[in-house]
Amino acid sequence: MTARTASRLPGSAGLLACLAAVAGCGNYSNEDLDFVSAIPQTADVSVEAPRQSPIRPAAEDDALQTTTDVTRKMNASAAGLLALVDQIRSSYPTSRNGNQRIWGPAPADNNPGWQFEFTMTKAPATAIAPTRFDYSLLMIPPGAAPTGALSVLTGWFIAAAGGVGTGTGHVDLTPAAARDAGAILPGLEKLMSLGIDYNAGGWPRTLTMTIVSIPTVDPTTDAVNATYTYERNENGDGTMSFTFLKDVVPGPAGVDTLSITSHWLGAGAGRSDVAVIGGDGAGLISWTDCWDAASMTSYDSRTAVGDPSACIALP
Amino acid sequence: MPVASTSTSPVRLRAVRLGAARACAVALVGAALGVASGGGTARADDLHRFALIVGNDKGGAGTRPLSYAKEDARKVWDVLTRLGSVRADDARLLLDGDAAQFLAALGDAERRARGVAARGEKTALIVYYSGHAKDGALRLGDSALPLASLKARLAQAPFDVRIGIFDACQSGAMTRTKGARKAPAFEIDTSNPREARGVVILTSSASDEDSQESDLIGGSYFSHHLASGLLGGADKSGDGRVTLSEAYAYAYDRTVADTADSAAGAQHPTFSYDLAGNGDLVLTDVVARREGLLFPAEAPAGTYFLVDDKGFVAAEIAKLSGATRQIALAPGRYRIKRRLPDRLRIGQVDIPPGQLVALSEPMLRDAPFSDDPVKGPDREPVSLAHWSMAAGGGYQSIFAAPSAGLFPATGLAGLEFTLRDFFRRDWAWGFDVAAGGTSANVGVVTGSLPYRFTELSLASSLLTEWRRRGWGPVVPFAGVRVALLLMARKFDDHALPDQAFATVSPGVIAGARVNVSESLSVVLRGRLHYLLYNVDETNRSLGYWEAATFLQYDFGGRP
Repeated sequence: MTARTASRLPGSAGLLACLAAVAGCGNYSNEDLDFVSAIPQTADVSVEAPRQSPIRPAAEDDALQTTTDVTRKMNASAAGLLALVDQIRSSYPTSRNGNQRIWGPAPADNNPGWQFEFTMTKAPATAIAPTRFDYSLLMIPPGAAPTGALSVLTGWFIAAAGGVGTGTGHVDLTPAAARDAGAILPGLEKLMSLGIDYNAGGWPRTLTMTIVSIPTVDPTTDAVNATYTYERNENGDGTMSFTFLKDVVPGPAGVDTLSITSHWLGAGAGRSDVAVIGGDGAGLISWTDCWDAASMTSYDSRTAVGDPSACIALP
Repeated sequence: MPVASTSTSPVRLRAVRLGAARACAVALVGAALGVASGGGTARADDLHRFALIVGNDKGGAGTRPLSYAKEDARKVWDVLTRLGSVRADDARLLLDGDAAQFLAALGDAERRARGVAARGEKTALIVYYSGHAKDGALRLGDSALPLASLKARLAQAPFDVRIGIFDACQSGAMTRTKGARKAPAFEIDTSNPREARGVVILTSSASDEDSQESDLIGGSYFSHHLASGLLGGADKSGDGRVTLSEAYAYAYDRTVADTADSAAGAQHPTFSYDLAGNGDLVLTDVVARREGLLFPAEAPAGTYFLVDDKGFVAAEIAKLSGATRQIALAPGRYRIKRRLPDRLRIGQVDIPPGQLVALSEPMLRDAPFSDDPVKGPDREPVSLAHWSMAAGGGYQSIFAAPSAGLFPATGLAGLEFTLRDFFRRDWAWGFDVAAGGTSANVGVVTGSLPYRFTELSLASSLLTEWRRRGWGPVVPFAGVRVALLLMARKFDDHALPDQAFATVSPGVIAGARVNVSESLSVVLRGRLHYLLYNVDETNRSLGYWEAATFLQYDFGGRP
């Protein structure tokens, strides 16, 4: 098949040129919508914190605070990903070739001299497989040959019935090579890789995020590897599991690694079940921390403060 | 229609054959007025003259607009005010007026005539009408003026001499004829010349005849030759004054000759007279102003065409051998043509104000027929072009099968501007703009996306209208159209960018205009358009239809 090229909504010169040829021009395409709809959006790769209010109460429960902070960190990582794909989604393909759409090469935002090229391929549904989209984002350094393009992002999306954008997807963000070559990637400065599996459109929403960060001088503050598992129901109830570094058990190891599983209700109340899995108390200590709808601690098993019956039930 | 008949030899030969009939008419006039020997002629300055000159291209329902009725009226008005001793204050030029205005102008002339008569002066009234007549009435736009009542009014009018010149008929089935359909022809009763004493009535055609116009001469044959005669061409006696009978005889000869071979048939002007006791009447004095073009006796005989700077034949003069003719042309530049069997003799002459220029043969040169100034390339036709504006709405729908839900059906509101009779008669050049929008959904792999669709179209069309088919107020039309379509959609999901498409779309139009009044009409029309969709890899040939109704206002021809 022959590739067809079409820019965004053409300027007046382009408009006149194509009209002079008695041909149509523009980006009005139903087929393109399939592709654009398969690109992950903010709602697909971000999570909702158990505390919805941006204002932190003065005596907020520790576990709630930790869970909320982690969701913010996850969303910050996702924002770096979205910054890359938003430039793609905000425009239509540069060329169309059968079941392939290509955006670019075109100048990359925030990176003078750099270009990006986003390629997306559609595998139409068959009797045994739903429609699948695979995509990749390359960044091309200034003056580099096409073979010198650096992979920044790959992913796939498998469509499912249930509404626009419904399906499961996976994204691998690997900014290190481009960053090392001089690309400016806001929000991804400390990231080696980010992997996201997500389920969009249907319920419950699920998202698993695996972050590999650049090793830091102070390993007590940032984990090099972190995995976050998130699930949210339509009624607002949510669950998230993650590891967290914090010195909670005095001893020679210093910082401890905590495994936290938080559950919360759409109305606001929730609980975190914490276990020390690394450090001085590894395998020996665990506790439950509950909070009420006002974000105040309702029960802490470590101190036996509060009423255990105030905790929400585990799902 | 053989509009080139003014310059073709076969028509001239026909004029000779028809000359006997004209001779009878002139003899009758001459006998009644006692002017055959030149005695008893009323001089141009013996009477205080009034003129009511009326021209109206439109004749209301059942007629098609004429091209040159107003132009004819202007021409006659010019001749009478320059050469006919009619002061400008006493000459009323009524263009596109209705019957009430006609009668009001006549009443005004009557009132003024009574005042003049009270001073002991004799008066004359010349009424000239060029336009439609139908079913026994002059048709002035949508109004009618019954001929019987007009004739009675003229008979009772307080003038010593009343002259009515009517260039009209009611038939119109033939192209370029005055009127719209075959019907009993307009006829002034000439059976009882004594019934209206002191009244002379000239008509452009006899019973069952059409009065015809010519694009080549830019007027009706009758009025053209009448005006040419009044400029001096009809001065058979050579005394420098053109009498009523001379003008009639001249107009008769040439009108019959020019129309003899036309599709509408020969046109025979009629003359109803009763000037007993008054003698003949001098209509124009072509020597008093000593201005114009002089054909000396030695100038070769033949028919000379004098073409003005707009390309119209200002006068057509039959020069006889050894005769002198003075043509009181208005100052200006004229081209002269005399046709010979194998070539033309053409030249150019400037008539300065207040000067009489004598034509000499060296002023002319040989030229091929292709250089004929009468139908030369620089001819400026009379502009009948006029605009109309329409506003309305319609519905547009893309044929579903090949469009794959790309473009939803939508309502459109629009404005249309149409220039009629610009390229040629009955052609309309339209420009339209329309906008519309609707809400719709588009299906994608995983569901349906709601969006808001908007469309803007800019288009030009070329139509032909059948205005003279006798369908009453209904005027069918058909033509072609080219539209620039700008279509866009904005999705409810703001994460999706807007989409737009622009294309040129050719199509055809058909419909009808129903005239509600002279200027207002309701337009019903349908369109079929082709649309090439080529954004996706596979081109799609789409089509869409439109139906619309508009209210149209016609600004009419030039005043």
